[in-house]
Amino acid sequence: MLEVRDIHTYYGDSHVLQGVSLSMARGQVVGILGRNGMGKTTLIRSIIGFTPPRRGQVLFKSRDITAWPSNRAVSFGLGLVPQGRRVFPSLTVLENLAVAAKANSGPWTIARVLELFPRLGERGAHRAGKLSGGEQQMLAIARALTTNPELLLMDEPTEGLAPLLVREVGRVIENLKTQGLSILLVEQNLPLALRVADHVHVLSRGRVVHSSAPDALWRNEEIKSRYLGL
Amino acid sequence: MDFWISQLFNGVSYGALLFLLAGGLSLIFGMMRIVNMTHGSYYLLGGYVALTVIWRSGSFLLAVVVGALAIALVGIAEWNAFLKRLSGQELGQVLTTMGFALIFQDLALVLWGGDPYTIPIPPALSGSYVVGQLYFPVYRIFIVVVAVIVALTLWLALERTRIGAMIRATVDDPEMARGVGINVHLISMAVFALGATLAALAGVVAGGFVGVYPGADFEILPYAFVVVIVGGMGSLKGALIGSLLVGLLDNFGKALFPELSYFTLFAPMAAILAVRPTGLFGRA
Repeated sequence: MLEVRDIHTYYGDSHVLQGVSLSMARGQVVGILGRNGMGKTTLIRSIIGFTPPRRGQVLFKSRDITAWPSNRAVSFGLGLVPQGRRVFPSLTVLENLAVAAKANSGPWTIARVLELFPRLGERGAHRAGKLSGGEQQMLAIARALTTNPELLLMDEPTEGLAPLLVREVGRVIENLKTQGLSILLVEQNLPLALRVADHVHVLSRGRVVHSSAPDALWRNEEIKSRYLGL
Repeated sequence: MDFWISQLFNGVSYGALLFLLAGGLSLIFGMMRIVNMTHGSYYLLGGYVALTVIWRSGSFLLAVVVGALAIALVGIAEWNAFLKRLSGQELGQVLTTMGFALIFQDLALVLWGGDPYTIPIPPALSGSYVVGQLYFPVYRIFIVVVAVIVALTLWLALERTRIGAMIRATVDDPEMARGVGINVHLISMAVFALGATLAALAGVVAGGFVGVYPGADFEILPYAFVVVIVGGMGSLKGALIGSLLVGLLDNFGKALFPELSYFTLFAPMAAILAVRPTGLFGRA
């Protein structure tokens, strides 16, 4: 469903992704691990089109979307839960969902998303900027779902959350997985990533340095200590 | 007392005119970060196009409609052919819009000559209401009414519709707006066209009150920018309050200290910026 072929992405002169390739099948959850500054977020930005790669290709549902504007990629079935949540602070909770709701319908109506996150329904008329960090994270996930994605890109959805909320986000991801959603998950929280992922890639200095099943990574002490600081 | 009331009225009606011009400028500024130096030209050209329409047809209403729509097309063309390619390049945008401002200035001089004109206003809008010693020109009341209608319509559209929410989302975070599937290019073009339309409407309305003449574009542009800076970029409420403030300050400044009129306009602006660098209702 997604194939990333040897992409090279730059910020100005800084060569951040130096030839990353990976692929994932429909219904899979793939985890991207690695320390800060190793290119995980850049990978997400390259796929969604915020920072298009200068070389290489991103194929989604067999179409080359490398140079597409992000909104076209989203209309074509990509969904994004960005790093730092990035809810629209001056919009209400419901407006945050409404602007993302797509004209072409899918299973995720605003009503159904609110069933998954009842707390957001209670706060529907509040400005998103006034929500707590955990609520903003739920809103960021809910907002991405209302675009009815076939592949959800999640960039550190548990960053900065209290342990209780980390578990909550974990439950949501597992729930989405059982519903058949494909997810590319960037995560610092190793136990969570290993629990939900079918396959993991470790990024270091803009390259994939390890790919395996989650339990194989869990047993590989060398990779864990060298690239994940464990 | 009469002096204060009539100056207050003049200040409010000039503020209403400024709001028509600056409301769109503020939205463009807040949403696309474009410092649109052509905005004054839309005001000028709107007035001239309306003048021509009214000479040919005699209809004030038709002049308003044609003037506003013609300039909307000019704005869309400028946006599509040039500005959308310069996204994020402030210097390129300023120079491009400044270049267009100079071109339109000369073009207006070639097409309409250097004489000042006044747009003839319909009889229903001429004359004054007299209250005691005070004269309230009907046309100035008309300007205030137009500005109130425009402000209410814009407010409802921005705050109560999905498209309005999309515009605000784009002001908040344009990249993330694309990331939830909003066609930011299309929305930006629409807002740019709306801003041009309102500027042209201001030009037509002003044509019946201060006239249409060469240099009117660059004369009013600094006022519009002061409104945007004082009110806060991208804030409709800011544009409204800023317009009233600037209209009143300018009017009372000119009436009370004519030799210091620019000072009475810009000193309060500097004071506001010192306390609130993002303007009264702006966000960082």
